[in-house]
Amino acid sequence: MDHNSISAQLNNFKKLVQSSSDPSQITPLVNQLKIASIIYLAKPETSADVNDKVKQDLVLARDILECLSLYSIKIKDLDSFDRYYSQLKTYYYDYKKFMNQSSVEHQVIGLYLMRLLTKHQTSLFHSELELISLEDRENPFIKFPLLIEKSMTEGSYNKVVQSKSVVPSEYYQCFLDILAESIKEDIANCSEKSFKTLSLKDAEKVLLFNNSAQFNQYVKSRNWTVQGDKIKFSNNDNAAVEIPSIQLIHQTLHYAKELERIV
Amino acid sequence: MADVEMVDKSNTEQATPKDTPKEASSLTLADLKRNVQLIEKGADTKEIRFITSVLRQTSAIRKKITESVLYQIVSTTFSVNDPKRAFLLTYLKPSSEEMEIDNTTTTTSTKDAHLDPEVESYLHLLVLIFLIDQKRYDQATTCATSLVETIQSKNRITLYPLSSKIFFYYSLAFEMAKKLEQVRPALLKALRTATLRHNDEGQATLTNLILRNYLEYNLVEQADQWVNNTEFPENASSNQYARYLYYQGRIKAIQLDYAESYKYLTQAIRKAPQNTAAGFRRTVYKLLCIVQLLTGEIPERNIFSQKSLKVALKPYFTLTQSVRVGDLVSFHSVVEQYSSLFKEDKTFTLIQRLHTNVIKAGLKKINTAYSRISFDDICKKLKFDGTAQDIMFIVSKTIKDGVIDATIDYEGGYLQSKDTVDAYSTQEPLVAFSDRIDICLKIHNDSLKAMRFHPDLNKAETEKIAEVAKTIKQEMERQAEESSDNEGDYDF
Repeated sequence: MDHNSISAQLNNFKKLVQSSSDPSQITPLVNQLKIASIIYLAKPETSADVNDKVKQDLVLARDILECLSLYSIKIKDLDSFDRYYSQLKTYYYDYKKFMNQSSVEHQVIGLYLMRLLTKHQTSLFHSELELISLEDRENPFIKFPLLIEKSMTEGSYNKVVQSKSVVPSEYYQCFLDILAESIKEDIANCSEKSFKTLSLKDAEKVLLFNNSAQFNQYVKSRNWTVQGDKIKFSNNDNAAVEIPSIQLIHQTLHYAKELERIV
Repeated sequence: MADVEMVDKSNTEQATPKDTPKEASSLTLADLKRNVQLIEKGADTKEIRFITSVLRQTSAIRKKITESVLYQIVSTTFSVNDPKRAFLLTYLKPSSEEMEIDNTTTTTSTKDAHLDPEVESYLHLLVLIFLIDQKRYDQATTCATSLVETIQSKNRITLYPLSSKIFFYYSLAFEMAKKLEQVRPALLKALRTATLRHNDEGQATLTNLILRNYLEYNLVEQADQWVNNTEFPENASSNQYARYLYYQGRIKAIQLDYAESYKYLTQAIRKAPQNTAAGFRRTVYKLLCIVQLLTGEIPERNIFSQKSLKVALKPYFTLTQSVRVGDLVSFHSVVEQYSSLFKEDKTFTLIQRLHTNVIKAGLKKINTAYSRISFDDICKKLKFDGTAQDIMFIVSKTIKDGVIDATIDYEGGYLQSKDTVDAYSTQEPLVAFSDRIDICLKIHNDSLKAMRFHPDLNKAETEKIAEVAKTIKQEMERQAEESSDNEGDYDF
């Protein structure tokens, strides 16, 4: 396969995805493109190897990977998105100087950051963030996951939910849906600790449910006790204070032993 | 950038300013000649210590070196036909006077056809340092590359101390030329060689250089993998170890592992040389301050008042104050004011994370001051830009994180603080005292272990002491007897 036939394939793929025909048609094409991008397109090892033909190959390979990664989000195949991104990283950072910036680069990076948030890999999130220049962090595609991350650590869950209406692109939606679930868990954990009682009606609002049946099931799954129309959270503050006798004995014996050594 | 040059910042300059330039340069030349001889001696006898002692003076000599001195030493030490001589001389321009000296001395130096690689590398290194100091970075990189090539081809134990210095300046030259990325493969290769040859110091230096290289490009993930998959040689000098600890601290801080980071950074400060290396300590303290704030602690005030750090830490001091008070407005204005400085220090992203801590500190203060307060008022007090609902979630999270002890009344829309429990009715004092007792016992045991007794003192001295003690005792007994006798007399 040469450069032209691969790029023809890529165009074909783009058209197919646009017309959103059934996956059985697209999948073989995905596999072909994957192989093509790995085997047939040049990957220079030193900057001496780079000539115009190589540069074209690099751009094409990057385009393929970008298309594939966006497609993978569309069909919610997030594991392959991770794989595509780790391949793309080479093009974004190591081969950066040989080609112009791609139009979707920021979006793909932003999506990857969202992906890390949904996986709760905050340390990786911040390591990735370090790679992004301060100017690029102002880019709407990248700023969005940053805002989400900030709101999550802060506890402004409302903001995360509200952000649904201002997503920079449709691809982000998929991650926000996943996040909504984990936010619910977070809020529930916080509520258990911070409320003594909460009426069922308010709780439904606090936990951001819009469906009573789902909410009732959720209350059951968390083993919350319902009294009348109120949820009672069992804060065990009144647990009787026990005298830690065994610990005290250990400590005293330890002191005795040490004192003996000194005297 | 200055922080790497920890070793070279010592104030060992000996040249007195009274010397005229000519005298000074002839003195330097004599110094250099003596150093060359020392290195030759070291190479011949395979004694590393001669070479390390020469290298220890590098920083002193670095300040005194001039182009003409270098020209003279290079032209006289190398034989005329040596290609290396011509190579090094391309970097140096002689003054007219030196040209004459050059012509006269060449005849004498030809007899020494064979030159030790150690001497060769030493002079080459001096040229490299000179080029870096003169900010001729492009020349420095080519000069450094050829130097590294020569020392890599030779495996001599006497070259080891030189090689770690050489790699340090090699990396520095490329860093200054903003081409640090290019040396990474060479450094990795050199590390492999150093490890195989058990060149501990070289291994340590190279490990740090590679880490620095990764972090310069913010490749935190790679740097972390690197630390996990390599070993730091145990016998390396504490300066290198301090740097290694600092880099680890930085990696952990970015990865949100603040407790680990704090541990590494405090250790780095302890390992760093105490009187020199102000640049290194400054950098570590800056990062340490941020990390401490992120863990929710407030750094000790005396950190900021240290003499060598006071000015550099000023922005961090104001930042700490705003976090401590929990004032969002002043926090933002401090960040705004010093943002370019923080960016330069590469602490900016970490500082942005502090936003949450500021809110928490503010909430904590409110919680202790008010037993009951509505969310609207909290918003006003914190100057928080959001609805009461927003702040409720934040408060709820803060309660869950254990920062404040309170409950929320949703219907009433207020925050109810729990009565502060009398600390003396809990186990707290017991734990606190127990900790202190443990520390005291540990100090006692450690100092016992650390005590040294003179081997000869044992018998003779102790006998003498015992004798003295005996006589004193007898004396006292006699006195007691006498007095009792006297008393007896009175009784009668």
